[in-house]
Amino acid sequence: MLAYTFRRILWFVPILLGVATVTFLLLHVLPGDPVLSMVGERYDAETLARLRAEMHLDAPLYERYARYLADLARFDLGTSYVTGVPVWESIRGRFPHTLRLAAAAMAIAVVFGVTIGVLAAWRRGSALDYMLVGGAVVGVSMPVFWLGVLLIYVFSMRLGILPPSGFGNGSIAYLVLPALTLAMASTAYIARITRSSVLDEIHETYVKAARAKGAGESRVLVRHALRNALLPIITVVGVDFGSYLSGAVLTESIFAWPGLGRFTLDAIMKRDLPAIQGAVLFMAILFMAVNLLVDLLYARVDPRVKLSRGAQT
Amino acid sequence: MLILVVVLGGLFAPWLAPYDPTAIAMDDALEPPSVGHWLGTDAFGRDVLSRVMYGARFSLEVGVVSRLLALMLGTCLGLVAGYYGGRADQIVMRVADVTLAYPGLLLLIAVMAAVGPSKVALFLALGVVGWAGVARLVRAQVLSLKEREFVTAIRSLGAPHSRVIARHVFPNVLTPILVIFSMGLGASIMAESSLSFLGLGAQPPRPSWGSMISGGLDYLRVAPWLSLAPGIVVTLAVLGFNLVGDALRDFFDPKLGRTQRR
Amino acid sequence: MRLERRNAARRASRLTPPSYAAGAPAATPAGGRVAVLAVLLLIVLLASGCGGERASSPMLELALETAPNRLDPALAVDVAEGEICALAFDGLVGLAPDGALSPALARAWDTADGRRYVFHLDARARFSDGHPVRAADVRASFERVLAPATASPRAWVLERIRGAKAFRNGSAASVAGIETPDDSTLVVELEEPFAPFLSMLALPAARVVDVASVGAGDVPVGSGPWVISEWVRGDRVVLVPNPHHARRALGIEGVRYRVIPEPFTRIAEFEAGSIDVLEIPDAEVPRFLSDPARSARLLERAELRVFYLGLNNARYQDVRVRRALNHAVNVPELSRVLQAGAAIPAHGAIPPGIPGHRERAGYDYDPMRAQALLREAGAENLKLEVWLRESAEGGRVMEAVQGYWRAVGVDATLVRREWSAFKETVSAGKVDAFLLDWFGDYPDAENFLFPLFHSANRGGGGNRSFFSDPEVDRMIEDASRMLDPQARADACAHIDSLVFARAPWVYLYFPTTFHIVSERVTGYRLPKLYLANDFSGVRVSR
Repeated sequence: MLAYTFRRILWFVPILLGVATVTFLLLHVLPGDPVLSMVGERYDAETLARLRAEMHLDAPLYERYARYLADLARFDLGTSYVTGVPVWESIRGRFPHTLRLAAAAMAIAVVFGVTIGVLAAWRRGSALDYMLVGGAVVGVSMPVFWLGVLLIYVFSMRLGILPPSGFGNGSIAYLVLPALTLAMASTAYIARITRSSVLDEIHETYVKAARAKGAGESRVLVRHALRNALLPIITVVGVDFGSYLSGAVLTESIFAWPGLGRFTLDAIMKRDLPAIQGAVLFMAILFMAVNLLVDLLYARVDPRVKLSRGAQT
Repeated sequence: MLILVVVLGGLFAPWLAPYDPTAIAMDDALEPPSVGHWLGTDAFGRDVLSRVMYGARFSLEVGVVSRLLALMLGTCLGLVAGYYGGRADQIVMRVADVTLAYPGLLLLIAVMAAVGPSKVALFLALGVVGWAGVARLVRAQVLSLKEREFVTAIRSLGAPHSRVIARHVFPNVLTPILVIFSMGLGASIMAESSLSFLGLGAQPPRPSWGSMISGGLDYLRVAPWLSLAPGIVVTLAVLGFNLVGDALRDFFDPKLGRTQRR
Repeated sequence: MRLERRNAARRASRLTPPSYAAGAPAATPAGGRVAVLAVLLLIVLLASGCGGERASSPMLELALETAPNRLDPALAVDVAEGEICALAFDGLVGLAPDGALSPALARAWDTADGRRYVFHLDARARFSDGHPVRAADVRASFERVLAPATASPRAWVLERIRGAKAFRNGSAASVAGIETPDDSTLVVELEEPFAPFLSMLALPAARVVDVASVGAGDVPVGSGPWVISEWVRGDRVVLVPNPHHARRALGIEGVRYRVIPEPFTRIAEFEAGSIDVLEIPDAEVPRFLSDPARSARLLERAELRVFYLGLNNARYQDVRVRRALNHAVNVPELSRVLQAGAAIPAHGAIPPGIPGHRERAGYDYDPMRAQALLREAGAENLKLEVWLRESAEGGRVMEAVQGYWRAVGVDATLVRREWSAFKETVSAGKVDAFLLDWFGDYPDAENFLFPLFHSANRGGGGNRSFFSDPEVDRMIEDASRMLDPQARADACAHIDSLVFARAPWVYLYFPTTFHIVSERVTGYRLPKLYLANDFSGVRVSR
């Protein structure tokens, strides 16, 4: 297990190098000059040349690439062109917001997803089942930004019970709408997985056996049936949590949430090369770390999963 | 059924649409839904229903082509990786890892900005972002197939690799590919609308669902139909493709759909 | 972030080979562990977030569309940054809410020839840490902006000072044209007379900082009526009154700017009472105007901003073509549909409210005439590519213009790019036409002529339509040397009309914006431009 983990982490290095290189080249071929976003609407060629020299943007490509890699090797993500703040500092400042939103969304998705799934399975074939399943399917199919706006419209503007945006003083009320928006697709998906797994399990003999032994139905459902739903749920949690952590651009924009996604989008729009490169690398690391965790969790939950093969997952 | 309506509506938009989707009639601006305009009109008096229908063409086109691209890339690479294993496998899967670890939106925005937010750019961007997931899936299928008796038997008879792949391996991965295509279609449509929300999708005046929703949000309190109509249509379309995907899976391979059976 | 991948990966995960989904119960007792974990997470979150609602302290709550990146006047470039810098940093002169020049650090100034200016500093002027502002501080601030090491993108504001260029290229240790005879007198000498200089001194780049404080934190120490007390990047900026300032605000505890990128969210925040002043999006203007309960709290502002469709004059050299494109667009109708009829059709570049603006006629909506002109010029079936930014407003305007043009046989393709790519390509003169607006940083006609039409500014300097006429160049230069305000206004109006006749643009309109103030705020004055905020009369009731 330990050796496996170690090997996986070793693999991070070439992948990150790949990510860094792709970003570097991508930003190079992109139209849009980073210097232009620093000067506003009125500028002259002399100012541009001076700034360009200052940021070594006039150096040949290979030289800039070498410089970039050398900085990376020293764990230096550089300083943002636009804000003048070290990129790592900015990421550190933004990430807690993103983490908070992601954790809340994931918690909502799991709690509601599993509950809805179990309820639907328990009352399978009933009106309740159809309603829940129907809701879940619609939930997966709705564009996130549209859902966000509708939520603001209903809960803030019509009902006036929740603040529309921002994180305010950090109170939970500010978290509800963005977390709900972000969680919707995962919730719906988890609900469907849970429902079908539970349904399958109900027919399994061991459940019948458990029931024969006199365990209550709800106990059977939760104890035994849920267990099988665990693996697919972990998969969803892994994939979605990984992407939540890299910032939900749309949700953050609508809810004026100053997280990593917004930071990256701003950086892209301003061609703030160091900030983009830093943020992309950071996200890649997070994503890989979460995936590794998920794989390890798999192995713990289900010993039949062989890690050697899972190395590719 | 849903899909049929949407697809037909899109395909035959030029004949079915009651109005020209880009014809401006300022005097009819912001009319609520009525007999003349079933879904009302927008700020320029353009018929929302017609625009939704033409928007379907754009969104479907983008969805289908970008998905096909992702599938082709992903399937070829996945087949090669899974079948040959070894070095080829290593390389393909590492590249897939890089793609997967890469924040997709950045890639999308980057391609959009480089090529300009055109249809071709959308195809390319969405295709490039989507291939890695397909490749992984195909590879996993191939890996399990490779060990099955019939494949090893054919191999031992001395059939060339290319034929084994084409005749025996590929047909067996077709089913999951079909499923992933249908579901990915929904995802692509959603991605297109999200990009439009950021101003990076379809070019005006060409209607796309995404740009209609985001443009309509400004009028949400004044003329809610502007964003509600395309929003509901997108939801229905994505919903439809997901359901088709579910059904396909259940039909072709009950075992695959096992954890998903409804 | 991962728009599509997320879904693809998820689909893939559902279809992974069924090795682990084979049916037997999982061996570990991890049954509800995930759920338990999630519940715990939720509880932690709830606990961490236990604070009251936002305290309703008497702060003025405002919204920003974009996040400020630099709150240092030497480096500020955009509107959000400029607005906040203007509050926290005083310059020699300032702008009153009505846009007029007002005394700031300098209580008075005089000039005999428009070349040599003597500023008498206000002895009461203090930095926010209490130490007095002296002439040497002004000089140091100016030299800091000009110093190449500062890399200020706004050095052009001060470059007309005698010796500034020599200082910039390193051949002089100080700027020859700035003298400080004593602590409260500053003498600035320009290379040549330049009438708009005083107005330009109100720009952020000419504001004064305590140079010794630069680099110690994100924000240098300033001497404005407000002090930046909290800055959460990407989220908010809070300003509190500077206790040492003569015009310190008494009615409010502070001003809080929150960054809210989406217009819809800003409306929701205003309706929720957490934003005090809202610029009403165009689409909602009629709705607010027709609401009697609210129309009393509406403020209207004719913007110092001109919305235009720049034509590449190097490509469309025939003035008849350019005029035809003007005649083909129904600007009053555009104004009615997009701006509730409040936008003022532009017949020149100088907006109303600026000396030099004139009412004039021209380019009435006349599709027949447009077609005739195009025919005369042999430009039937004209095809052109119009570049625009990704803003919703721009999209709407161009969709309409495209429709008008199609009616006269002009086929326009729209190319929408985000700002960086747009600016690079358009400034390089590589497009047929582009939709853009220009707004005044300082309320002077020169700001709407020199950058936009002088050939020295072709490209990045602001003249993106590449209009070039030596005669106009000379007239613009002459006008900036005129000292008599009336004569200069007349000269500028004349230049504006000359350029208008040449139709380098399709002239659209001067927008009007509507703002609404919340019920709890009194005494708020809508500034004529973003640098002219003055909250000293504002009261906020709890």
